[in-house]
This record gives sequence, C-alpha cells and structure tokens, in this order.
Amino acid sequence: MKETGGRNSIFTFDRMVALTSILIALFLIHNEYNMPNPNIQQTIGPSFMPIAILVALIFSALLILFTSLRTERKTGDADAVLAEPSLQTSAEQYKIMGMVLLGLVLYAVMLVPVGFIISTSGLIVWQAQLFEKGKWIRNLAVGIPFSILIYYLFVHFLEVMLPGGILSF
Amino acid sequence: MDLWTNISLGFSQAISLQNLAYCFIGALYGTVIGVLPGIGPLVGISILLPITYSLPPVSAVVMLAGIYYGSAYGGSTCSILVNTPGESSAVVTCFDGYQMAVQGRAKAALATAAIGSFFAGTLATVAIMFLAMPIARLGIKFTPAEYFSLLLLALTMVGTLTTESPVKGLFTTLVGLLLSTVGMDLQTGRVRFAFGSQWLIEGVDFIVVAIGLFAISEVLVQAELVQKFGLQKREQISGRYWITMEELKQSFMPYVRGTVIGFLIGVLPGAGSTPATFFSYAVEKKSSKHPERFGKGAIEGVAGPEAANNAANQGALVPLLTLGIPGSATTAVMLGAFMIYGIQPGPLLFEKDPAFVWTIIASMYIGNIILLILNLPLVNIFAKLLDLPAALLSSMVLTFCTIGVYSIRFAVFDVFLMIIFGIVGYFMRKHDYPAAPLLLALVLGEMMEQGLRRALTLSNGDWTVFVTRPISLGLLSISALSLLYSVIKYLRGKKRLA
Repeated sequence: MKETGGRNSIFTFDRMVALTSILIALFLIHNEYNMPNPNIQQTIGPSFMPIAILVALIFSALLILFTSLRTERKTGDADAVLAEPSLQTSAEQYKIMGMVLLGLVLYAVMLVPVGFIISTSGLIVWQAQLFEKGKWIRNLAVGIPFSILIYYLFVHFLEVMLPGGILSF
Repeated sequence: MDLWTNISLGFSQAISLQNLAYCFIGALYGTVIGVLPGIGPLVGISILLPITYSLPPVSAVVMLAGIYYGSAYGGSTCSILVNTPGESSAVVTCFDGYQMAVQGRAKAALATAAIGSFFAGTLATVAIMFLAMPIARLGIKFTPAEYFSLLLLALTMVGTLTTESPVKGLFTTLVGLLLSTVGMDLQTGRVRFAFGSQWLIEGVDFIVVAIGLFAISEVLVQAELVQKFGLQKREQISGRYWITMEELKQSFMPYVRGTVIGFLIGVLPGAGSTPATFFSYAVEKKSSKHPERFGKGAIEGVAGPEAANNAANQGALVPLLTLGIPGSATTAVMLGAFMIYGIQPGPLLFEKDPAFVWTIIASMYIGNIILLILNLPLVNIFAKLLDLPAALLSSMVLTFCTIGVYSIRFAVFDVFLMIIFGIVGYFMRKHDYPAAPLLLALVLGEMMEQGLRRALTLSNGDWTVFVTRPISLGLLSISALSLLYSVIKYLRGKKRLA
C-alpha cells in the first residue's frame, strides 16, 4: 500500500530527526552536567543515567543519519499494514488532521472553564463534521445525550470528578 | 504450598461474586474494544486505569487481565467482517477470514476464531500454572544486578526484534528511557529535566504517553484514511450452521500447532503476538496439502493464527507475573497499573500473596469461558458495533482518551502533553519509528535506574558485579547478541542494496 514516490521526503525526515535529537541531546548533557550534585556519597548520582542515555541517543541518531545518507530500505511489516501509511500525505489530508488537532486543543482549553458536557458535545459535533459532512441533527442527537450520560456516570457512579463548568450538577 | 492447594485457593476467590462480576466486565469491555477498529487492549486499558484506582487490587487486575485476553477474541470479528485489522496481531486473520465472509461463511470463520481462542487461552493458562512456580523460584535468587540485566534484555529485545528497523527501535527505546528520567530523582530528590514545570517534577505519566502515541495518532491516521478512501462497509453474518464437524476437524491441528507456537513466542520478551500469528500462518500453509487454498478462504488460515494470538498473549503474562518483566507495550501498561495499585509482580508476590496471583490465574479459565459465550452465540450483537458511524466513534474515542488522561491528576497539562505525543506518534508511524519500545522503556526506565544504583551500592561501586554473577552475565550476553543481530541485519541490508 505504500507509495514509493515519497522517498526524498523520508530522507529529509530521518535526517531532521537525527540532527535535532543530537542538538537537543548535547544541550541536555550540558544542562545536566552543570547541575549541582547533592552531597550524598554515591557510586553514581542522579546525573549518571540521563547522561549515559543521552550519549547513547546521540550514537543511535548518528546511526539513523548514516542509514538515511546511505540508502533507504523498505519492507512491509505488520504495523505498516495496520497503519497503511501512504508516505505522501496530501494538503487536504493535512488540513483534516490539523482540524482534528485544533478541535482537541480547543476541547482541552474549554474543558475546565466551560465544563465537560458542553465541551464534549461540541467536540463530537466538530469531529463528526470532519469525518462526514452534514447530519447535524444525528450528531447533536448522539453528542448531547452521550456527554450528559458520561458526565453523570463518571461523577456520580465512578466518582471521577469531571469539570462541571457552567452547567455543574 | 503445592500446586493444587494454590489452584483451589485461586478458584475459591475467583468465583466470589465481586471477582466474577469484574471478570465479566473485563471480558465484555475487552471484546468491545477488540471489535472496534482502532482501539486495542493497550489503549482500552490505559483509558480505564484511572477509574480502577478505587477498586480492590485483585478485582482490578482480574478485570485488566480480562480486557487483555478478551480483546484478542474481539479482534478477529473486525478482521473477518470488515477486512480491517483492529490491531497488528489481527492482520493475518483478514487474509482468509474476510475471504470466508465474502463467500458467505462468516459464521464458520467467527466460530473457528472463537473456539481456537478458547482452546489456546485455556491450554496456555494450564501452561502458566505449571511454569509459574519454577520460574518464580528461579527469580527469587535474583539480586538487583540480575534485575538490571534482565530489564536491559527485555528492552534490547523489544527494541531490536519487533521492528523492521532495529536502528529506529534502539532510538525510540532511548527516547523512552530519557523520558523516564524526567522529574524528581527518588534517591536524592534532585529534579531532572523539569524546566521549571511543576507538573514535570512528578514525571511523565506512562498513561499520557500510551494514549497519545497509540490512540490519538490512530485517530489522526483514520482521519487521513477516511479523507482518502471513504467509509467502509461490513459483511453480514449469514447461514444456518456455525461450524460443521468437517470444518472443526480441519481446524483442530492448526489450533494445537498455533497454541504451541504462540505460547513459546509469547513467553519470550520482545516478540509479542503479531509475529506468532504470522509464523503460525506460514506453518499452516507449509504443512497443508493444498497451500493454494490459502488467501482464498482456508479455515486453517484463521484457526492457527487465532490460536497463536491468544496463546502468545497468555504466554506474555508468564514473565510479567513471575519476574515482573513485561515483554510488550500492553504488558508494560499492565505492569504500570500493578505498581499504581501497590503490587510489585515478581517472585516475591508468589510467596507473600499467593491468593492474589492464583486468583488471577484461576480467573483466566473463567474469563475464557465467558469470552467463548460472548463471542459465539452473541457475536451478532458485537458485530452491530461495526455499524457505528466512524465519525461518531472517533470523537467518542477522543472523549474517553481525554477523560482517561485528565483524571490521572486532574491536569489539563497532561491533556496537552497527550496531544503532543499524538502528533509525535503519528509521524513515528508514518516513518516506521516503533512506539512499543518507547513505552516499554518509559515504564521500565525508573526500575532500571534504581536496579543499577542499588546493585552498585551493594557491590561497593564495583562494576564487575554485572559480569561476575553467572545469571547476570548470561542475560547481558543475550542482550549483546540481540544488538549484534541488529547490527548484522543493518549491514546485510546495506549490502543487498549496494
């Protein structure tokens, strides 16, 4: 299911990952190295493990970099079949995924001040629109009772306090 | 105490009304998340964790185990009826299962999957029963040095063997380990990598990472696919008979072979159930007199892999319960859950609280019976779930993910962290960076660091302790071999293309 057309982009991605992680790792090592260490006599202190991991991380990022510079070898594995990642994502697809994320961010922002029921109903309608245009009534007819039911179930039955917001009951 | 005393102790507790109820809820919920595409046991368990904190630990674990093995039953339904695997271990079932459904033999495919799962699940539980004590006895001799080496082995095996690209597996393992060091160091109280955030002082919660990497990224992938292919329709369940004697006979040997293959692969850390299903399929095709039937609706192609899948799932519980070492991302989440309940699985648990361990093992027999009933006569009800509009389903999944993450400590910060991990997870999938090693490393990282420091404290700072103790040396050698294997694989790949 994979398209082979996106080869150039995957080179760039792997290289970018490798280079950024090397830079971040160097920064973190520097950061950790300059940390004051506690006055407890220990063979290895709290800095040892993070620095060891970061050094190994730089090493593995270099391996990725070399692999991507040399060649690209692709075989289908099970997870690839599952995710069906066609390597080229169209602008349309990025747009729809961006909208999903935007909906989720708005949901997170609104959750506490506005409350669970209204935010969740909103999220469901928003999300459903992205997957399937129209059907407003169906989405509202499912979204609102679903939100109320879940709120009630969690707050009164499972004793998980969800934010009530402006509609708490 | 001998085996039979333990088992009767386990059963006497497992059949209490409360434990039966949680076993049923787990099996039911497991079947539902198995049937629904895009939510596997890992996400299903992660979402549910925060609300299990108030349960008695034994009931909570009985329920989690039910979800864990129950989802493998449900997984086949989606593969057979929609040709969409709910998780990677159900991919193989699509090959012949969906073909059988297209030919109007959906009932036989569903039946052989359910019976095979029951057969394998039950036999594998018997195997767990007999293996648990000997392994736990071996584990009791472990010092922190052996534990550190064993954890390292689990990580290197998952990082290098489960993925096509061991280099990337190694990379994500290290990222997971790094994330595990975020927050306050337990021994000295020094804060690492929190960058002034009060939330990060407590560390990065594995549930946030699990839901982000596995569930949010999945919703993104689905949004992308829907845009491209539109929504999918399912095949109907028709026909009078569930399964004929002839079909059952054809399925029997694949069940047996699948169970053995699955259990052996499942016990090893790193492999997991997906390779077990592929291996079983290959074995069935090779041993068949008519290999050309495979891919066109051969019942053996469903029976073998389904048995292998369940046996591998159960097998993975052996190292988890006896040594406290998870071999896959899902069992890592379960280990994380155990620790939240204040239970440290491993050899000591068998000594200190045999009732706990044996109740869980006994509940697996009961759970498998419940699942057989849910997945054979009642499969029609669950199949209806597949008619749920994908648009609504995905938004409900997002809601449950958010509740799951938010209710860990009532922090919107965690919800944002989940979204970030969702985006990261999406790109990881697209570019073959495996997420399972990252999650496993995150859960095991702290244990590893503590093990290392404790071992060195005990040896007065002598590093040779890891190679002078024979078990530790053996475990480290196997880790080194699996790393060597990935280097060879890397070099070979290069040669082939040169």
